[in-house]
Amino acid sequence: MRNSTNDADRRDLVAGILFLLPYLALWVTFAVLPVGYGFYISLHKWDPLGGSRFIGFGNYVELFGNERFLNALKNTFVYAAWAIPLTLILGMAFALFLKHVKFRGAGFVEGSLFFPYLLNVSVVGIVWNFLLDPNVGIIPYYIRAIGLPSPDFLNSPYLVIPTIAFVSAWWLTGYRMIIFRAGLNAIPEELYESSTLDGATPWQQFYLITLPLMKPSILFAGILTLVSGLCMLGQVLVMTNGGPGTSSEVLALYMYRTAFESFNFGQAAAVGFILFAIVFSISMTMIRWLGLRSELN
Amino acid sequence: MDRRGFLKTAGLLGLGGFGALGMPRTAAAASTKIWFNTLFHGGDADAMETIVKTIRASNPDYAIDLTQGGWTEYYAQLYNSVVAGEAPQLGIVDDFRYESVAKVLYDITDTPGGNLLDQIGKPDDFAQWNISLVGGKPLGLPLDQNGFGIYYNKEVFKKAGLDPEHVPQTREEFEAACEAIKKSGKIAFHPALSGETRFIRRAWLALLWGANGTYIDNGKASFNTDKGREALQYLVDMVGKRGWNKPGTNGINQFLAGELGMLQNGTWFYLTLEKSKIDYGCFMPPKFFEKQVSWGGYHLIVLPRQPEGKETAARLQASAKFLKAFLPFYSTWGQLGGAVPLLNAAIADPKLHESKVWAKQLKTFSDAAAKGIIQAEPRHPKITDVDLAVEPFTQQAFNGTMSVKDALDKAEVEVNKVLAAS
Repeated sequence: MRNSTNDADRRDLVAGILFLLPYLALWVTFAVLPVGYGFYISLHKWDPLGGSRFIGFGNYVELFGNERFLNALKNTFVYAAWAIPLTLILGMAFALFLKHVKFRGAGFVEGSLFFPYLLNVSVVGIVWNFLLDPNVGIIPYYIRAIGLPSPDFLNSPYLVIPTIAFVSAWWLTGYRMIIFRAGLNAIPEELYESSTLDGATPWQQFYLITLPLMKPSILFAGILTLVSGLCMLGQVLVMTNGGPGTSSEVLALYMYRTAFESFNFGQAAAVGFILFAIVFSISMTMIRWLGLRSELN
Repeated sequence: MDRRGFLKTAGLLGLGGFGALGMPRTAAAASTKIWFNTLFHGGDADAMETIVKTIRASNPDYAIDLTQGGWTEYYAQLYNSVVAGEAPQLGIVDDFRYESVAKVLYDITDTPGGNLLDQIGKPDDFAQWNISLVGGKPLGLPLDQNGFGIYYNKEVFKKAGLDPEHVPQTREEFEAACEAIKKSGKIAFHPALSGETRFIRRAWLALLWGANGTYIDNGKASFNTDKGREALQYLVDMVGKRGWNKPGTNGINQFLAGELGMLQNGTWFYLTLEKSKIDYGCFMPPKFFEKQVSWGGYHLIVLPRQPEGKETAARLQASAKFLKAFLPFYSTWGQLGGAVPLLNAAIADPKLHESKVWAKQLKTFSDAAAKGIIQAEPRHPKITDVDLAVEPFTQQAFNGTMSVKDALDKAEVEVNKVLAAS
């Protein structure tokens, strides 16, 4: 009896591994190995043409003594602090609006909100550069038309990051809205009906029913937005190239420059690994914070 | 068609395709294959495309794959493609990046395919042959000399009461023209193209060199001097105290919108302007300090290193064959791309002198090149790092968010760190 149970367990285990194998092979090839190899490179004064020299954590030590790197690290967090909440809150607000407010043309509005996500980041950057141009941009034009001085959106050290965060939110909110719409649609209507009978207010329904039941959607959208926020490159590269000065130079741009303009691949790999460690640790904290460990396990 | 019929047809097509793999090579497959990757985009990319199309048309056995446009990541691609053994046979390099990619380029007199220079031409055929040398070895062929000039809008000049046929010759005349344009309600001058950080630095460098200052010297920053500060202050005042423009603006947009009187821009601006409806002219920046200087550079045609194998020599021979066919088109490159071609035959070509571009701008640039007014950045393997270290500070000074003194003090510290690093 006991032997047959063990055999069954073993068969289940083998079947489980076989089911996982295709995904594991891809995951190891495209995630684990590149991260490991990146870490290996970061421990070297790397010369791809040969002659790389092992320097231990020398690249990391050098980075944390480099003001420009620390500035890029700070800018990354400032950008993330603007862009992530803005994208998620707007995505949730649009999803709730479209679920609860019924009107003609709702499909068109939903499509319009999703449309920017279909654009390439270069297109987004170029379009917004034109919209915000102090001379020919339509936004400064209308601000001046109502008698206000137009801020220098992309050339002010104080406004540049919030402006890029807003542009990113404009670009990404539509997709987050779709994720939240799917999460909202999965909540049984009966819960709202019975809570209404019990006298719950709309706020209580949102706080006690909607939000807890949307945790998986929030986690998914949150991690997506976190990764896109902390690893943001395209928008700054196209819109400001890190300027004015280094006011919008974020980690991904710093890494890009270190690798592809200075050809210092070892140090760029170290920046990449630091970025990976940040994204990974915040993602794990989010999973724990949203209480989804058991579900994921 | 039923299922059986579909399977039969698919099978026959599959067998046909398989069989074709074993067939002898066709004429097209046996042709001279060349992958030519350039960093050009916009007008000069169109010019190169036109030249390559013409070479293809007259040499049907050349299968030339021309890829262009990846400016920002071009040098990384070039470097990495050599590392990966997938490099293009031909590329284009700016002279200020030449030394930083030198180790992935062939000495064209000593390749696995032999001395390619002998098959293409002689050093004497080229104007300024010396720019192709790194450590005494030619790593490419000089293609063109490009640089900054000042483009002006003739309509804006007229409205400001200026003679559009008499361009400012001196600093005083230039400043008077700026004041007149400002007074007419238009934007007077943009010294730095689209206003990007690198263009601000380049505009300052030209002023620095004009004041007889230097950028780096003996492995150290040498710009933080009275001359360097005076040059940067003058640039800052253009968009500050003098009010000829504002920081953070895009001069190209302003010029194309007809709002800007004068714009400092590169030779490559020609084709963009030709497509616009602006009535424009071009002149070289006047002598602002001790000598007349304009920022400039060179393009070189290079041969990135190929993976070693049986076909390497043949691939290099093919590249040489293509370059031999390219030489007669140096004049066309000048006519279409707007830069000064660096082949003596092209410079003397009557067709070039009769072309519209010659009258519009190329004579101005060609004369400036001959007089040594166009000055290139110093060659150094770490010049890109130096530039990256300087740019944030020159931009902050330009924007008025940092004093000129602080900007150059900080830039000096950063540049010396970069140059001191192993």
